[in-house]
Amino acid sequence: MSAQNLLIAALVFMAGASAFSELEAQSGMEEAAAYDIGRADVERGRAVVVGVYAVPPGPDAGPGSPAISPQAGACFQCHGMDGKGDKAAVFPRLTDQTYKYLFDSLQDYASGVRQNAVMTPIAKALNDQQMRDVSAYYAAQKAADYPPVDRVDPQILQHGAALAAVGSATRGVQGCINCHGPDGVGLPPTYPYLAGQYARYLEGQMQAWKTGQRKGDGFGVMENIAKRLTDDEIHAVSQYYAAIRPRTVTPEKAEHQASTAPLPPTPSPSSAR
Amino acid sequence: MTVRMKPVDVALVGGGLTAAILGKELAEAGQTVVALERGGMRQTVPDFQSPTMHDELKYDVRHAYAQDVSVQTITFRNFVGQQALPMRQLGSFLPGEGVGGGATHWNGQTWRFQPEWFVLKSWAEQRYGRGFLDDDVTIQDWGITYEELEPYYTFFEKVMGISGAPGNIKGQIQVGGNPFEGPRSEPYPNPPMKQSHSGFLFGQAAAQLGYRPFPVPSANVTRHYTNPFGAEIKPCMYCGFCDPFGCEHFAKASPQVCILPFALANKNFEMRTHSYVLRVEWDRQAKVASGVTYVDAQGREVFQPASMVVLCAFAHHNPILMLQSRIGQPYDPETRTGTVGRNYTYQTMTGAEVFYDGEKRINPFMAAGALGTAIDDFNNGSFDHSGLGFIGGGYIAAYQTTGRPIYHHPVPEGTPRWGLGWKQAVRQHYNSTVSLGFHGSSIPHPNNYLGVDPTYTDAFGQPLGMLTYDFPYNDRLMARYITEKMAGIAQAMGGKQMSVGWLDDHYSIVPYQTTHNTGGAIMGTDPKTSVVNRYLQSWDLHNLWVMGSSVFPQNAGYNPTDTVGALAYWAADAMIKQYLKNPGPLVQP
Repeated sequence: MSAQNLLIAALVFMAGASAFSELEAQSGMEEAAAYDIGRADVERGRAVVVGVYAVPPGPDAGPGSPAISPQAGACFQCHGMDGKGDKAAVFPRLTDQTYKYLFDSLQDYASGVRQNAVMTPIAKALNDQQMRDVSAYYAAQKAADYPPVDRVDPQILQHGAALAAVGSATRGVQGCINCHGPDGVGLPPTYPYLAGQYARYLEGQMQAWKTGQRKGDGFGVMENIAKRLTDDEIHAVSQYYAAIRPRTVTPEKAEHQASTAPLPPTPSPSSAR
Repeated sequence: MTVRMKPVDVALVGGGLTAAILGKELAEAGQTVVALERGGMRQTVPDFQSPTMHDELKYDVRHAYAQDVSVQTITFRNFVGQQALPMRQLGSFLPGEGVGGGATHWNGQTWRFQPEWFVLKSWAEQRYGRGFLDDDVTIQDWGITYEELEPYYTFFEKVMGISGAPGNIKGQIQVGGNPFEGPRSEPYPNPPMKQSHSGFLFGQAAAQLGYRPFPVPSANVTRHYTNPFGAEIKPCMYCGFCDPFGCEHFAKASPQVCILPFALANKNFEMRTHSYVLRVEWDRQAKVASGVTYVDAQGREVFQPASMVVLCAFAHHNPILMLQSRIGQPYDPETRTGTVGRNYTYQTMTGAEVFYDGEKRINPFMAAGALGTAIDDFNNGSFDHSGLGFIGGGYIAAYQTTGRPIYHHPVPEGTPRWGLGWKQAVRQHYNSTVSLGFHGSSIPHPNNYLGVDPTYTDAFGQPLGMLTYDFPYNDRLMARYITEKMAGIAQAMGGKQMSVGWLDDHYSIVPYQTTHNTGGAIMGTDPKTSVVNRYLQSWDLHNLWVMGSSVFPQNAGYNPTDTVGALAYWAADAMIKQYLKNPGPLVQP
């Protein structure tokens, strides 16, 4: 390296060194602040779920939390108090999803990278604090039972199982199991839980990735995979995950407990109507 | 009785990275090519898929993707006069076995060598004077310059989708990259990896001390990327299972993902697996290689006639094959004459650990093989060696390669080696320790070489190769000087405790260090001191070529893969544009 280059390098470094540390520190802090599960409250989340809009915002919620109109739908009407969802109406199970996944989903609906006629207006009406609270509420629900398994052509199930386990060499697709875990239990906190999710929901989401209605997984991985798969393959893998039931998994201990501050009384769902 | 196969134009010994490169290029140039791979076939789907791929015991502890030493190994000794003994278990390095070779189970750290490395001897003499180094420091020029190799570096990096921050584009120093790298004609094809917290802590301390941190260039690709051949590489998921595993996500650049599909689709190319090459056959009168003899999957001895033979096996295996085939003059450490086996070099590695005792959360499992933050202020061309008495250097990095449970359990010195005390220490330090590594160069010494063992034989009855190696004095001085600098950074990182691993013992073949074995069939300008010419063509048999890090006259303070790939494309170009049109020596001695 010539002396001239060294001099240039030294000058550039003076600018570069400070940029390095500041940028890194900033981006890290913002991300942590958005997720901060320590500021989420399960009981306030319950109030959002049942549609009690008059709930006093928490001390850190910020002023001007917008109200959701009851017609837009409180969460429980579609997803249930236990996060079971509604198979017939294609409302997904939220039980067993992680706090981060649920929070990210609401953020994605609100920002428009994920589009859905029902969820988009609801997510847009929630502020960050309400999103944290409602995500914490559903992430805490573990007891929703599963519907009976559909009768599906075993060949389709087997095809889906093979895609889930090893992927497809001809399509250049890796197995789902790499990220979504054995038996579809997910890989917390990022990769969602799939076991027992409703087939029509899964298929719809895969189609949404394929058509670009859903984005926002950071690297575009699901988009790429969905585009490579045929409709039959998407159908098969959706049926497979809908049909499996997770083994009993010991839940991880949460490192942060949600706030235990005294809460406003929670009205019953009926009184909220 | 030997089975005789139908002749082909080119026989490639090995089925790894360089064989994939040459196989594709030569097959497309109209040559019939056979690659002879001692291991089996394996592909991303289904072989690399979870959860079987994440079997740490099978792949890391039991080396499922590395050479089977019960079939063939080498013997080892530290110095001439010592009794060499067979390496009966893998340890210090892990030669690959199976299609894709080491480039399937590598980490993906993809560095260019600084320009000075290619002209090391003349550069050192010009800068520090002729008397600066001992006669024992047998460094050499490569016979090729960085400027000549640059386009091939660029092409190889495009093939592999390398992700990094450029530091020098056409002489213009770039903010955020390595300011000490040689000028590159283009930026990396993909942006750098997201940096880990350990890298951030290292970079912060290094910057405070006046060094210039940057993200390590990586073959763990950072976005969906299509290479010049049309291969699609997917983004890395930071799962921390790179080396010694295959990548389940099509995200780590490997022959299977980037190159081989296009070779295998060509009817001129054949990948013949479970073919264990014993020797190169050659015509003593005509001075040309006539083909190779190998043992096939049925245990038959097979002769594959070929108009051209290319050694694409592991680094030390290429010169050992030449010795077993009696090609060229074996190096003799007593007389210091001969070339085959000469200038075997390795890598000089030291490390340091910073323990935060639970104060920082590193999350070491959010990792990738080439996820690291580095400084290059102490590589050979970056600083002044005056008065230091050594040549060489290397980079210092904080890599976050894995948090795997068997592999990763950093504990401070003095921790009990087992039992309750050890378990408590692992629990305390697992998530709050940053490991630094110094990746130092390796300078040749007349006593370090590859030969043939007089006693031990392999499963086929052939003598084993014999490695004689210890860290030369030059490299010990170099390691001491730069490890002190690394310790200074570790100190500045503000941990509760730290430990430094100094280089203060003989080289041992037992603990894993690195698979960067180099030299033994080195390139150069003089047949008396090199095995191949600047195009990697044998001085002795013009239709025999040697690929890989075997040809490095000395090893730089970097990982070798980028240079191995660039040299393979450089050689392929010479074969296709010059040699095939008029076969014969491309360089007259």
